[in-house]
Amino acid sequence: MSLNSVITSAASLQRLDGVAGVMLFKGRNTIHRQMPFSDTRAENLREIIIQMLDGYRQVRRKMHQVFLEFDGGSLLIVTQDEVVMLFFLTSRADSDLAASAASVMLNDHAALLHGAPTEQQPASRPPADGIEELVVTSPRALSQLTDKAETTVNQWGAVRQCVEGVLGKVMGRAQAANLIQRTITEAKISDPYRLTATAVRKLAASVIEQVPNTSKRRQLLGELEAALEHLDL
Amino acid sequence: MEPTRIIPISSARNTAGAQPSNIVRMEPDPGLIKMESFQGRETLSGGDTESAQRFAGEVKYVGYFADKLAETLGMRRLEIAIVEDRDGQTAISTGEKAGNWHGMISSNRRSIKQVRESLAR
Repeated sequence: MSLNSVITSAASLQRLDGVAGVMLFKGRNTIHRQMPFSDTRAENLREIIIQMLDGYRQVRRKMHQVFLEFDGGSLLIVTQDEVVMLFFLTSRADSDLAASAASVMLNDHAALLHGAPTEQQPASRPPADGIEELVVTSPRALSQLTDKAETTVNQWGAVRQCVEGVLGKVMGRAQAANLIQRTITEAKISDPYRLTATAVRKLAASVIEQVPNTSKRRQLLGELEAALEHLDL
Repeated sequence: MEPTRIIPISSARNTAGAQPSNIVRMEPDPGLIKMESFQGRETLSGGDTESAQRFAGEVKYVGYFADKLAETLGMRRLEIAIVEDRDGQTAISTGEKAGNWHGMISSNRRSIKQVRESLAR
Protein backbone atom coordinates (compact mmCIF):
# COMPACT_ATOMS: atom_id res chain seq x y z
CA MET A 1 0.00 0.00 0.00
CA SER A 2 1.59 3.26 -1.12
CA LEU A 3 1.46 6.27 1.16
CA ASN A 4 2.68 8.59 -1.59
CA SER A 5 -0.56 10.59 -1.74
CA VAL A 6 -0.38 11.21 2.04
CA ILE A 7 3.28 12.21 1.76
CA THR A 8 2.43 14.65 -1.04
CA SER A 9 -0.26 16.29 1.10
CA ALA A 10 1.93 16.38 4.23
CA ALA A 11 4.85 17.85 2.31
CA SER A 12 2.64 20.47 0.69
CA LEU A 13 1.76 21.81 4.16
CA GLN A 14 5.36 22.97 4.44
CA ARG A 15 4.53 25.59 1.82
CA LEU A 16 2.25 27.42 4.25
CA ASP A 17 3.70 30.73 5.37
CA GLY A 18 5.80 30.49 8.53
CA VAL A 19 6.04 26.67 8.56
CA ALA A 20 9.69 25.77 9.24
CA GLY A 21 9.20 22.01 9.39
CA VAL A 22 6.65 19.19 9.27
CA MET A 23 6.64 15.60 10.39
CA LEU A 24 3.92 12.99 9.92
CA PHE A 25 4.13 9.82 11.97
CA LYS A 26 2.10 6.95 13.32
CA GLY A 27 3.65 5.49 16.44
CA ARG A 28 7.28 4.83 15.58
CA ASN A 29 6.64 4.83 11.86
CA THR A 30 7.77 8.17 10.42
CA ILE A 31 5.76 8.63 7.23
CA HIS A 32 7.19 12.00 6.25
CA ARG A 33 9.85 14.17 7.85
CA GLN A 34 11.12 17.55 6.73
CA MET A 35 12.60 19.32 9.72
CA PRO A 36 15.19 22.11 9.80
CA PHE A 37 17.52 20.04 11.99
CA SER A 38 19.17 16.61 12.11
CA ASP A 39 17.21 13.36 11.80
CA THR A 40 18.38 12.33 15.28
CA ARG A 41 16.96 15.49 16.82
CA ALA A 42 13.71 15.02 14.88
CA GLU A 43 13.45 11.42 16.12
CA ASN A 44 14.03 12.60 19.73
CA LEU A 45 11.25 15.11 19.27
CA ARG A 46 8.95 12.38 17.96
CA GLU A 47 9.77 10.10 20.92
CA ILE A 48 8.89 12.84 23.46
CA ILE A 49 5.62 13.61 21.68
CA ILE A 50 4.71 9.89 21.56
CA GLN A 51 5.31 9.66 25.34
CA MET A 52 3.18 12.75 25.95
CA LEU A 53 0.28 11.51 23.82
CA ASP A 54 0.55 8.00 25.33
CA GLY A 55 0.04 9.56 28.76
CA TYR A 56 -3.15 11.24 27.60
CA ARG A 57 -4.31 7.98 25.99
CA GLN A 58 -3.77 6.11 29.26
CA VAL A 59 -6.21 8.40 31.05
CA ARG A 60 -8.62 8.06 28.10
CA ARG A 61 -8.35 11.65 26.93
CA LYS A 62 -9.01 11.83 23.22
CA MET A 63 -6.63 14.55 22.10
CA HIS A 64 -7.20 16.70 19.02
CA GLN A 65 -4.49 19.29 19.14
CA VAL A 66 -1.63 20.58 21.30
CA PHE A 67 -0.01 23.95 20.65
CA LEU A 68 3.22 24.77 22.48
CA GLU A 69 4.77 28.18 22.01
CA PHE A 70 8.37 28.48 23.13
CA ASP A 71 10.60 31.55 23.20
CA GLY A 72 12.08 30.70 19.78
CA GLY A 73 9.26 28.99 17.87
CA SER A 74 6.16 26.85 18.26
CA LEU A 75 5.21 23.22 17.97
CA LEU A 76 1.73 22.35 16.75
CA ILE A 77 0.61 18.75 17.18
CA VAL A 78 -2.57 17.71 15.36
CA THR A 79 -3.57 14.14 16.09
CA GLN A 80 -6.21 11.71 14.95
CA ASP A 81 -6.20 8.21 16.43
CA GLU A 82 -2.52 7.23 16.46
CA VAL A 83 -1.48 9.48 13.58
CA VAL A 84 0.31 12.73 14.42
CA MET A 85 0.97 15.70 12.16
CA LEU A 86 3.64 17.86 13.77
CA PHE A 87 4.47 21.41 12.68
CA PHE A 88 7.46 23.48 13.69
CA LEU A 89 6.28 27.08 13.26
CA THR A 90 7.88 30.49 13.26
CA SER A 91 6.09 33.59 14.57
CA ARG A 92 4.91 34.39 11.02
CA ALA A 93 2.75 31.28 10.78
CA ASP A 94 -1.03 31.23 10.97
CA SER A 95 -1.32 28.41 13.52
CA ASP A 96 -5.09 28.08 13.07
CA LEU A 97 -4.78 27.64 9.31
CA ALA A 98 -2.01 25.06 9.77
CA ALA A 99 -4.10 23.17 12.34
CA SER A 100 -7.16 23.20 10.16
CA ALA A 101 -5.28 22.14 7.02
CA ALA A 102 -3.65 19.28 8.94
CA SER A 103 -7.05 18.21 10.23
CA VAL A 104 -8.41 18.17 6.68
CA MET A 105 -5.39 16.20 5.49
CA LEU A 106 -5.76 13.59 8.26
CA ASN A 107 -9.47 13.24 7.51
CA ASP A 108 -8.96 12.98 3.75
CA HIS A 109 -6.40 10.18 4.16
CA ALA A 110 -7.95 8.55 7.25
CA ALA A 111 -8.54 5.17 5.59
CA LEU A 112 -5.02 4.96 4.19
CA LEU A 113 -3.43 6.09 7.47
CA HIS A 114 -5.58 3.61 9.41
CA GLY A 115 -3.89 0.77 7.53
CA ALA A 116 -0.37 2.15 8.01
CA PRO A 117 1.85 0.24 10.48
CA THR A 118 2.86 1.80 13.81
CA GLU A 119 6.31 0.24 13.94
CA GLN A 120 9.42 1.69 12.40
CA GLN A 121 9.72 0.61 8.76
CA PRO A 122 13.06 -0.65 7.43
CA ALA A 123 14.70 1.66 4.94
CA SER A 124 13.30 0.72 1.53
CA ARG A 125 15.68 -1.05 -0.79
CA PRO A 126 16.41 0.69 -4.09
CA PRO A 127 14.30 -0.71 -6.94
CA ALA A 128 15.88 -3.30 -9.22
CA ASP A 129 15.83 -0.96 -12.21
CA GLY A 130 17.69 1.66 -10.16
CA ILE A 131 15.01 4.31 -10.77
CA GLU A 132 13.45 5.73 -7.61
CA GLU A 133 9.93 7.09 -7.53
CA LEU A 134 9.92 10.80 -6.86
CA VAL A 135 7.10 12.15 -4.70
CA VAL A 136 6.36 15.64 -5.97
CA THR A 137 4.59 18.28 -3.92
CA SER A 138 2.59 20.87 -5.74
CA PRO A 139 0.92 24.19 -4.86
CA ARG A 140 -2.32 22.56 -6.05
CA ALA A 141 -2.19 19.96 -3.26
CA LEU A 142 -1.82 22.76 -0.71
CA SER A 143 -4.62 24.86 -2.17
CA GLN A 144 -6.92 21.80 -2.08
CA LEU A 145 -6.24 21.44 1.66
CA THR A 146 -6.44 25.12 2.58
CA ASP A 147 -9.64 25.64 0.58
CA LYS A 148 -11.31 23.04 2.78
CA ALA A 149 -9.60 24.38 5.90
CA GLU A 150 -11.84 27.40 6.35
CA THR A 151 -13.85 26.15 9.28
CA THR A 152 -11.43 26.12 12.19
CA VAL A 153 -13.57 26.21 15.30
CA ASN A 154 -17.25 26.57 16.02
CA GLN A 155 -19.62 26.89 18.95
CA TRP A 156 -20.23 23.17 19.40
CA GLY A 157 -19.31 23.33 23.14
CA ALA A 158 -22.02 25.93 23.81
CA VAL A 159 -24.50 24.24 21.45
CA ARG A 160 -23.95 20.90 23.20
CA GLN A 161 -24.74 22.55 26.54
CA CYS A 162 -27.97 23.94 25.04
CA VAL A 163 -28.94 20.49 23.70
CA GLU A 164 -28.18 18.89 27.09
CA GLY A 165 -30.23 21.58 28.83
CA VAL A 166 -33.22 21.04 26.53
CA LEU A 167 -32.99 17.24 26.74
CA GLY A 168 -32.65 17.50 30.54
CA LYS A 169 -36.39 18.26 30.65
CA VAL A 170 -37.29 14.79 29.40
CA MET A 171 -34.34 12.56 30.40
CA GLY A 172 -31.37 12.27 32.75
CA ARG A 173 -28.01 13.90 32.15
CA ALA A 174 -26.16 10.66 31.38
CA GLN A 175 -28.91 9.53 29.00
CA ALA A 176 -28.77 12.88 27.21
CA ALA A 177 -24.98 12.68 26.91
CA ASN A 178 -25.26 9.15 25.50
CA LEU A 179 -27.90 10.22 23.00
CA ILE A 180 -25.69 13.08 21.76
CA GLN A 181 -22.67 10.80 21.44
CA ARG A 182 -24.71 8.14 19.63
CA THR A 183 -26.05 10.72 17.15
CA ILE A 184 -22.51 11.98 16.43
CA THR A 185 -21.26 8.42 15.88
CA GLU A 186 -24.20 7.48 13.64
CA ALA A 187 -23.69 10.62 11.57
CA LYS A 188 -20.02 9.60 11.17
CA ILE A 189 -18.82 12.99 12.45
CA SER A 190 -15.22 12.68 13.63
CA ASP A 191 -14.95 16.16 15.13
CA PRO A 192 -18.11 18.23 15.74
CA TYR A 193 -15.97 21.29 16.48
CA ARG A 194 -14.92 21.42 12.83
CA LEU A 195 -18.46 21.56 11.43
CA THR A 196 -19.91 24.65 9.80
CA ALA A 197 -22.53 26.66 11.71
CA THR A 198 -25.31 25.15 9.56
CA ALA A 199 -24.06 21.61 10.18
CA VAL A 200 -23.83 22.25 13.95
CA ARG A 201 -27.44 23.46 13.93
CA LYS A 202 -28.50 20.37 11.94
CA LEU A 203 -26.63 18.08 14.35
CA ALA A 204 -28.30 19.70 17.38
CA ALA A 205 -31.75 19.31 15.77
CA SER A 206 -31.05 15.68 14.79
CA VAL A 207 -30.35 14.86 18.47
CA ILE A 208 -33.68 16.33 19.59
CA GLU A 209 -35.50 14.59 16.72
CA GLN A 210 -34.75 11.28 18.41
CA VAL A 211 -37.16 12.08 21.25
CA PRO A 212 -40.03 9.64 20.53
CA ASN A 213 -43.00 11.68 21.82
CA THR A 214 -44.17 13.95 18.95
CA SER A 215 -45.55 16.85 21.02
CA LYS A 216 -42.58 16.89 23.40
CA ARG A 217 -40.22 16.69 20.44
CA ARG A 218 -41.90 19.70 18.80
CA GLN A 219 -41.75 21.66 22.03
CA LEU A 220 -38.06 20.82 22.58
CA LEU A 221 -37.18 21.76 18.99
CA GLY A 222 -38.81 25.15 19.61
CA GLU A 223 -36.78 25.61 22.78
CA LEU A 224 -33.59 24.58 21.00
CA GLU A 225 -34.31 27.07 18.22
CA ALA A 226 -34.68 29.88 20.77
CA ALA A 227 -31.46 28.84 22.55
CA LEU A 228 -29.54 28.79 19.27
CA GLU A 229 -30.89 32.22 18.34
CA HIS A 230 -29.47 33.43 21.65
CA LEU A 231 -26.07 32.06 20.62
CA ASP A 232 -26.29 33.92 17.30
CA LEU A 233 -25.93 30.64 15.47
CA MET B 1 -3.68 64.69 31.62
CA GLU B 2 -2.81 61.41 33.31
CA PRO B 3 -3.06 58.21 31.22
CA THR B 4 -5.98 55.90 32.01
CA ARG B 5 -5.06 52.94 34.22
CA ILE B 6 -7.05 49.72 34.31
CA ILE B 7 -6.70 47.85 37.60
CA PRO B 8 -8.50 44.79 39.06
CA ILE B 9 -11.62 45.62 41.06
CA SER B 10 -10.34 43.42 43.91
CA SER B 11 -7.23 45.53 44.52
CA ALA B 12 -7.20 47.80 47.58
CA ARG B 13 -8.30 51.40 47.18
CA ASN B 14 -5.99 54.06 48.56
CA THR B 15 -8.68 56.27 49.97
CA ALA B 16 -12.26 55.42 50.72
CA GLY B 17 -14.62 57.40 48.58
CA ALA B 18 -13.04 59.44 45.82
CA GLN B 19 -12.03 57.55 42.70
CA PRO B 20 -9.55 59.33 40.40
CA SER B 21 -11.00 59.78 36.92
CA ASN B 22 -8.05 58.10 35.22
CA ILE B 23 -8.63 54.75 36.96
CA VAL B 24 -11.12 52.25 35.51
CA ARG B 25 -11.86 49.32 37.79
CA MET B 26 -12.52 46.08 35.89
CA GLU B 27 -14.17 42.88 37.10
CA PRO B 28 -11.61 40.04 37.04
CA ASP B 29 -12.12 37.32 34.40
CA PRO B 30 -14.17 34.68 36.29
CA GLY B 31 -12.65 31.82 34.30
CA LEU B 32 -9.04 32.83 34.91
CA ILE B 33 -7.06 30.39 37.04
CA LYS B 34 -3.70 31.29 38.55
CA MET B 35 -1.04 28.97 39.87
CA GLU B 36 1.75 30.64 41.80
CA SER B 37 4.84 29.21 43.39
CA PHE B 38 6.46 30.79 46.44
CA GLN B 39 9.22 29.18 48.53
CA GLY B 40 8.32 25.74 47.18
CA ARG B 41 4.63 26.12 47.96
CA GLU B 42 2.04 26.25 45.22
CA THR B 43 -1.13 28.25 45.49
CA LEU B 44 -4.11 28.06 43.19
CA SER B 45 -6.67 30.81 42.74
CA GLY B 46 -9.66 31.44 40.48
CA GLY B 47 -12.03 29.03 38.79
CA ASP B 48 -14.00 26.36 40.61
CA THR B 49 -12.18 23.69 42.62
CA GLU B 50 -12.46 21.03 39.92
CA SER B 51 -11.20 23.33 37.13
CA ALA B 52 -8.35 24.62 39.30
CA GLN B 53 -7.20 21.06 40.08
CA ARG B 54 -7.42 20.06 36.43
CA PHE B 55 -5.49 23.20 35.47
CA ALA B 56 -2.71 22.41 37.98
CA GLY B 57 -2.47 18.85 36.68
CA GLU B 58 -2.29 20.05 33.08
CA VAL B 59 0.40 22.63 33.92
CA LYS B 60 2.58 19.95 35.52
CA TYR B 61 2.07 17.41 32.75
CA VAL B 62 2.58 19.84 29.86
CA GLY B 63 5.42 21.56 31.72
CA TYR B 64 7.31 18.27 32.16
CA PHE B 65 7.17 17.45 28.44
CA ALA B 66 7.70 21.07 27.37
CA ASP B 67 11.00 21.11 29.28
CA LYS B 68 12.13 18.02 27.38
CA LEU B 69 10.96 19.45 24.04
CA ALA B 70 12.62 22.83 24.72
CA GLU B 71 15.89 21.07 25.47
CA THR B 72 15.68 19.09 22.22
CA LEU B 73 14.84 22.22 20.22
CA GLY B 74 17.52 24.30 21.93
CA MET B 75 15.00 26.75 23.37
CA ARG B 76 14.73 28.23 26.83
CA ARG B 77 11.16 28.01 28.00
CA LEU B 78 7.52 27.40 27.23
CA GLU B 79 5.43 30.56 26.97
CA ILE B 80 1.96 29.38 25.92
CA ALA B 81 0.32 25.96 25.76
CA ILE B 82 -3.13 25.20 24.36
CA VAL B 83 -4.33 21.63 24.79
CA GLU B 84 -7.50 20.53 23.03
CA ASP B 85 -9.32 17.27 23.59
CA ARG B 86 -12.81 15.97 22.84
CA ASP B 87 -14.22 17.77 25.90
CA GLY B 88 -12.70 21.21 25.45
CA GLN B 89 -9.62 23.31 25.74
CA THR B 90 -7.03 24.17 28.37
CA ALA B 91 -4.98 27.32 27.86
CA ILE B 92 -1.82 27.97 29.86
CA SER B 93 0.48 30.97 29.87
CA THR B 94 3.65 31.53 31.88
CA GLY B 95 3.83 34.41 34.30
CA GLU B 96 6.71 36.85 34.57
CA LYS B 97 8.20 34.82 37.42
CA ALA B 98 9.33 31.23 36.87
CA GLY B 99 6.81 28.79 38.36
CA ASN B 100 3.86 31.15 37.94
CA TRP B 101 1.16 30.24 35.44
CA HIS B 102 -2.26 31.48 34.51
CA GLY B 103 -4.89 30.29 32.08
CA MET B 104 -8.33 28.79 31.75
CA ILE B 105 -10.27 25.61 31.15
CA SER B 106 -13.17 25.84 28.74
CA SER B 107 -15.69 23.42 27.31
CA ASN B 108 -15.92 25.66 24.27
CA ARG B 109 -13.15 25.57 21.75
CA ARG B 110 -11.67 28.81 20.46
CA SER B 111 -9.05 29.41 17.81
CA ILE B 112 -5.39 29.62 18.83
CA LYS B 113 -5.45 33.30 17.90
CA GLN B 114 -8.45 34.01 20.15
CA VAL B 115 -6.90 32.12 23.08
CA ARG B 116 -3.58 33.94 22.72
CA GLU B 117 -5.39 37.27 22.73
CA SER B 118 -7.36 36.43 25.87
CA LEU B 119 -4.23 35.15 27.67
CA ALA B 120 -2.40 38.36 26.84
CA ARG B 121 -5.14 40.51 28.42
